[in-house]
Amino acid sequence: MASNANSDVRTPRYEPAALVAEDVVVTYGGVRAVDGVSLRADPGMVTGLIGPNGAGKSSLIGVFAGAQKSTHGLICLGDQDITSLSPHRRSDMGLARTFQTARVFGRLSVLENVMAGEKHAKPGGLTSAILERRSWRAREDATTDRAFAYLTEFGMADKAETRCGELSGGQRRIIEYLRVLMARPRAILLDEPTVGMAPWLLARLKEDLRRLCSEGVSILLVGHEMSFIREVCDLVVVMANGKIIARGEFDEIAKDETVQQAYLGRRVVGAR
Amino acid sequence: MSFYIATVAVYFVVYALGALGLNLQFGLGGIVNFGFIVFEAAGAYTAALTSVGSSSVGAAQSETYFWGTSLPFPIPLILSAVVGGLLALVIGPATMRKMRRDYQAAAMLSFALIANQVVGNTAGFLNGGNGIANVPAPLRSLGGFSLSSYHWVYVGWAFLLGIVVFVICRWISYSPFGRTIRMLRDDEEAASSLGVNAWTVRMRLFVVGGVIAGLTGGLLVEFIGAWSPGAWSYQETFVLLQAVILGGVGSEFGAVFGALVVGVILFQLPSFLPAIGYPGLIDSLQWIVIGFVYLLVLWFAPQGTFRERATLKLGSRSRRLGLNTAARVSGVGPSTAPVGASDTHEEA
Repeated sequence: MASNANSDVRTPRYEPAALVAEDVVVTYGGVRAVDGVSLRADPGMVTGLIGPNGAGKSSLIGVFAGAQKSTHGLICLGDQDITSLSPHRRSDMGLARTFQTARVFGRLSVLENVMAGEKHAKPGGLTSAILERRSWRAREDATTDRAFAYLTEFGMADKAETRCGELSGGQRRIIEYLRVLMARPRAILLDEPTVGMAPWLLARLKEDLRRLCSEGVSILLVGHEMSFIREVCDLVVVMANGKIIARGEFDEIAKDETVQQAYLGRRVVGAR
Repeated sequence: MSFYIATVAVYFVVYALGALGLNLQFGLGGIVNFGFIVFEAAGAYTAALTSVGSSSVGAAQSETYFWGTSLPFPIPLILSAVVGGLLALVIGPATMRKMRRDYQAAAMLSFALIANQVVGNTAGFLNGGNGIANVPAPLRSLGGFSLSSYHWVYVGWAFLLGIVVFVICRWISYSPFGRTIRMLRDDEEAASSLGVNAWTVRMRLFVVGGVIAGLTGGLLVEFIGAWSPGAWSYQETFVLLQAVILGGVGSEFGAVFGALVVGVILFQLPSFLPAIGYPGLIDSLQWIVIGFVYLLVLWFAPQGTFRERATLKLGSRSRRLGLNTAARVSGVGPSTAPVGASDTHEEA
């Protein structure tokens, strides 16, 4: 059973596809939180999105995920326009995400939370629950195996039956991340994935992101921890006041005067 | 005495079924359906109308209702479940599509109040406030039972139905679909980001709850033989809701236990007590006691008697999986190196 599950999961389920935003605008009342942003996260790359607080990064992630409506602009996954699609449809197309504050299903066990990421765990519905018990049980076994293997790898096997609501913030972050891995997505939105994670897990996360990239997954990563961004991201995009003010490799960005001004809190000029 | 015990037993099943249906909607799915009793009433009226015959003939001559026929057992009961589900199919989109959960609750309560008033004050529709009486006992004519033995046959039938519904609710709860509805309850946005279509899952759940409610109404009316707006005031939903909360939100055993304590011991048994004090005193005391029990539960045991458990137990599986993990993660996980540091759970 385990070997079947393995052969299934080693191959990405989706064709690689870039995650693209074109001229996206998000307004809250009269405030333009995202102001005409165009951004592309290509397959096989980790694209970092950084910027001071209030820059519009999480709003942009929300627009990519479909949780936040944009006032204007286009969101594409590969060559498909997904602007008007709901979050669950985007998920079905291979987009996975984490949240700025880790969100878990508090009354479900840790194991169930991780299993929730598995696409085929999407139940087939009510009739399947009652009439096709043998069929879903076989799938459940495979999903349980995968989820438990991940938990073991991340040192959380002993928590498998604990309610997720009882976990610490860092542990919830891990669970949320494992859900993403379970989904075998083609594009991933990671919103501050390193917050609350133990140092040895950060090393592990870097290793994972590299592996996912090699499998052709597109990754857009929002972060504040610059050493992590520097080590992981192939391309870094900087936002401030809802606009992109710089993009390039980390070392170039770090020397950029506009970026330094934005982080030091001075007025941003020359936004690009 | 025999009839008394049989009646209490049937009421127990009726409350247990109602609590199971509401537990499915509220306990697992987080749908606050303050109008649950309306779906039960729809089932009861359906079973009554399809059993009692036309209002112009027989014992029903003194009653006026818009339509009636006499169908053989168990068709009226099946129809009661179907109508409960159909009503949910109609009401669900109106209340659940766009509304936030707290507004849903208010909308469902309003629906319950309006439905009760409309039915109670429309004489020619379902015989107004007097309701429909003389609903024939379905199994009695089939088996030629005496009155005393018939009651126990019906108790057996009710328990059989109750067990079937209980098992189906458990199957739903312990299936991947059950996990999906719990996910929605705990965090809709996170569930949607994992591919769950919140709207369709909630509607399915709402309809299943409606089917169970309708069946419950049909089961009750075929036993007591009458149904009127007084039997389905909005408070009845709160009795069921309290049964779910006392038993343990999300637990099927809890729903049955809550139905026994709240529905039978607190709500039904006092109505068989000899009268004390002025008329209506027992009824008033009953609500006071129910209110106190509710507060005690919320204060001392907010999780209820039977706490919702993880539906997936690893048992010996964890040992087997643990032993095999190193071999399996090479294909499954992000790396081949198993990590066993116990300090993983510390906040960084």
